[in-house]
Amino acid sequence: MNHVAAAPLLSVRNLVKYHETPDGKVHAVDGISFEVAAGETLGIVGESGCGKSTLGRTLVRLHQPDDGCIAFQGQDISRLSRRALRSVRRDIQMVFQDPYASLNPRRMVRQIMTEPFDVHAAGRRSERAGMVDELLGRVGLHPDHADRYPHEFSGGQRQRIAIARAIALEPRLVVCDEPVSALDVSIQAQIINLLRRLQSESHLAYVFISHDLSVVGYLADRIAVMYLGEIVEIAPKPALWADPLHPYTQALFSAIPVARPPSEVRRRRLPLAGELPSPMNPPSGCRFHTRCPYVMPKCKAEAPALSTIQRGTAGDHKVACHLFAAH
Amino acid sequence: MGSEKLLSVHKLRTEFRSGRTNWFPVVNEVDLDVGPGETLAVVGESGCGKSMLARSIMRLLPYPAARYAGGQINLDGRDLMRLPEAEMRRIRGKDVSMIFQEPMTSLNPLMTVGRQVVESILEHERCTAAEANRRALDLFELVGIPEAPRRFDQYPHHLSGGMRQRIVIAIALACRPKVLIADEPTTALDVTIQAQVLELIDRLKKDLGMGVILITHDLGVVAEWAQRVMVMYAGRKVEEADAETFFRFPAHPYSRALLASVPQPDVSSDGWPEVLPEIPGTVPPMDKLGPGCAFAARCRSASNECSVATPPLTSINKTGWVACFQVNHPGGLA
Repeated sequence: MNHVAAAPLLSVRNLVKYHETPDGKVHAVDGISFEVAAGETLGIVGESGCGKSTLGRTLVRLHQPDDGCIAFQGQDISRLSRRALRSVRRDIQMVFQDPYASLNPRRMVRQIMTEPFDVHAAGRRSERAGMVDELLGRVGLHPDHADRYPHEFSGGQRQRIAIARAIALEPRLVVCDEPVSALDVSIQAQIINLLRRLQSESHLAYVFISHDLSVVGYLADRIAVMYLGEIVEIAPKPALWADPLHPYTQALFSAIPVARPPSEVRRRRLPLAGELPSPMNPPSGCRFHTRCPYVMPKCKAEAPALSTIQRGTAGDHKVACHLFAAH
Repeated sequence: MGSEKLLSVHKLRTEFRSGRTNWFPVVNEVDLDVGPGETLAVVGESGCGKSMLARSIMRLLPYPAARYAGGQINLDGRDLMRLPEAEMRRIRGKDVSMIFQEPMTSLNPLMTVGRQVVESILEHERCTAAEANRRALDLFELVGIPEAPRRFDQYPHHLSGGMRQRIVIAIALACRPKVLIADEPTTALDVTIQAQVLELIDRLKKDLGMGVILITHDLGVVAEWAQRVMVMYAGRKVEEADAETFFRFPAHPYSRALLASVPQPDVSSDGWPEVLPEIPGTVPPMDKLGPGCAFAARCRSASNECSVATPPLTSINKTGWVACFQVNHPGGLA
C-alpha cells in the first residue's frame, strides 16, 4: 500500500466535533488527523465513549464538523451544502452495526436497493432490475431475495443487504461502524470475507470502526487507536500488533482474550486503573494521564503531540506520548 | 465425574410451544456437572439453547410458552425440578444465582444500588437492617467498587456499564451462592472492563469455592477462564472436554469450525489467515429440525448416515464426549 507517495483518497485534518448536551459539551472528536489511501483499510479502535462512532458519522457528514477539514479526493467536503454533498455521497458510503435499524422495514429489498440508483439517476430505469439482481449476487444473495422484506432475513443476510446498498454506486470509500459486532462468530467470518472480496474486486477503501481488536486486526492495513476523542497511536497493523507503544494501546491489547490452549497463553495483563474520565471534562495534558502506569509530572501539564516514531513504506508509526519524546 | 459435584443436571429437556398443541425441544437431553471452584463454559451461537439451559436450571422459564419435559437438576442432593415454587424462590439467589447480559435491565432504576444489594440479603437471611447494610458495603468492596460509601446511595444510571455489572455481581453473590450462572456477563462491556469483571468472578469463585457456569459465545473468554467446555448446537450438547484438550484437539466438526472462524493471528506463522474459514448457512430454527444431526447441513464432513439418525454423545477419552458419527468412526475424523 504505497499511500505515502500518492495523494491520499481521504485526508482529515484537525477534525473537531462536539455534542451539546444539557450537562455540557462532549468532546467527542477533538482534533483528529489521518489519511486513507485508495484501496486501503484503516481500522479505528477504542472503547465506548472514545468518539469512534462520532468520527465515522462526521466523515460521511451525518454530523456537521465543528472545525477542521475533510478532504476527499482533494476536495474539502467539511462545509459542503446538502445539495453539493449529494454527488460526494456516491463515493462515500456507510454501513452500520444494526442492519435492521438501517433498512426500511416496510419496503421490499428490491425497493431498498433501487433507491440509490433512483437518487443518483444511475443506469436506465429498465436496467435497474437487472442491476439489483447483479448486486445481490455480488454479496452472496439470490435474485429471489429481492422480493422479500428485511424481517424475512437473518442478521447476517440483512448485513449483506446493507452492504449491497452501500456498494451499489461503486463508491471509493465505505465507512463501516461495527458492521459485524451483532453477529455470531461464524456469520461474522462470512461478512468479513465478503468485505475483503468486495475490496479486492473494486479497489474500495474502508474506514473500519470496531471495539473488537481481533476483527480490526484481521481486516485493517493500518490501525488508529482512539482515547477520549483523540488518536493516541496510529501504525501499520503488523507494527502495532508486534510493538504497541502507547501505554493505553498496550493495556487494550493485553486485555484481548485469545482462543488458544490455556497452557500456550502467556498472559501479561496490564490492568487499567480507574474509569474512563468524562468526555465532557477531559483531563488536562495527556488525557490518559489519570490511568497511566508511567505518568510523569509533564503528562499532567502538557498534551503530547502525535509524532512519528518510525517511518515505513506501509505508513508511519506515530504515537502521542511523552515517553517517546526523545525520538 | 466425582461425587463432590455441586450441581449436576441429568437428561434435562425443555420444550417450547409451537401452535396450540405442539411442543419442540430447545434443551434436549442435556447432562452437565459443576464442582466447587470450577468454571464450566457453555458455548455455541445464538439460538443454540445456551440461555434456555441457564433459565431451565434457575427454573425461570417463560410460562406458558415453555415447559419442562424431563430430567433432573440436582443441587446439593435436592432435585430442583421437584421443588414447589415457594421453596425454589428461597434457593434462587441463595444457593444458585444468575447474572444476565445487560446489567441495566436487571437493576431497578428507581432504587439506589446499595438498597438493591441490601434487599437481596434481607430476602434470604435473617439479620438486622444495620447488619445487612454493613454486609452490603463489604460486598461493594469485594467486587471492587471504588468510593463504596458514596456509590451506595447512587442510582444505576449514575454508574458506568462496568460498575453496574459489578453491582449485579454483588447482588448475585450477596448470599454466597454455591453455584453462579453467568449468561454472557461481559458481552456488553469493553475489553478492558471485561477482563476486570471476569477476573473478579474468577477470584470470588476461588475464594468462595463456588461453581461457575459461564455462558458465552467468545472462545477467547473460554480459553482464559474456563476449566471445562461444553458446546451446544440446536439444543443438544455436541461436545464436552477440558479446556486444554478442547483448544488443542477440538473433536466435533462444529467446534472445529467455530474455532477456525475466530479472527486471530496464526500461532505457527504468526500471520493472519488469508481467508477466514466460514461456517456456511445459519443455525437451524429448533422447531424445524428433521431427523439426524442438526449440524449436518453445514458440516463439511457429513455423510449419508448423518441425516438419518442423531449421533449419540459418546465418550472419546476420560473427560471428553462428542456427538458425531464421523469422529466416532474407527479411523474417523480425529
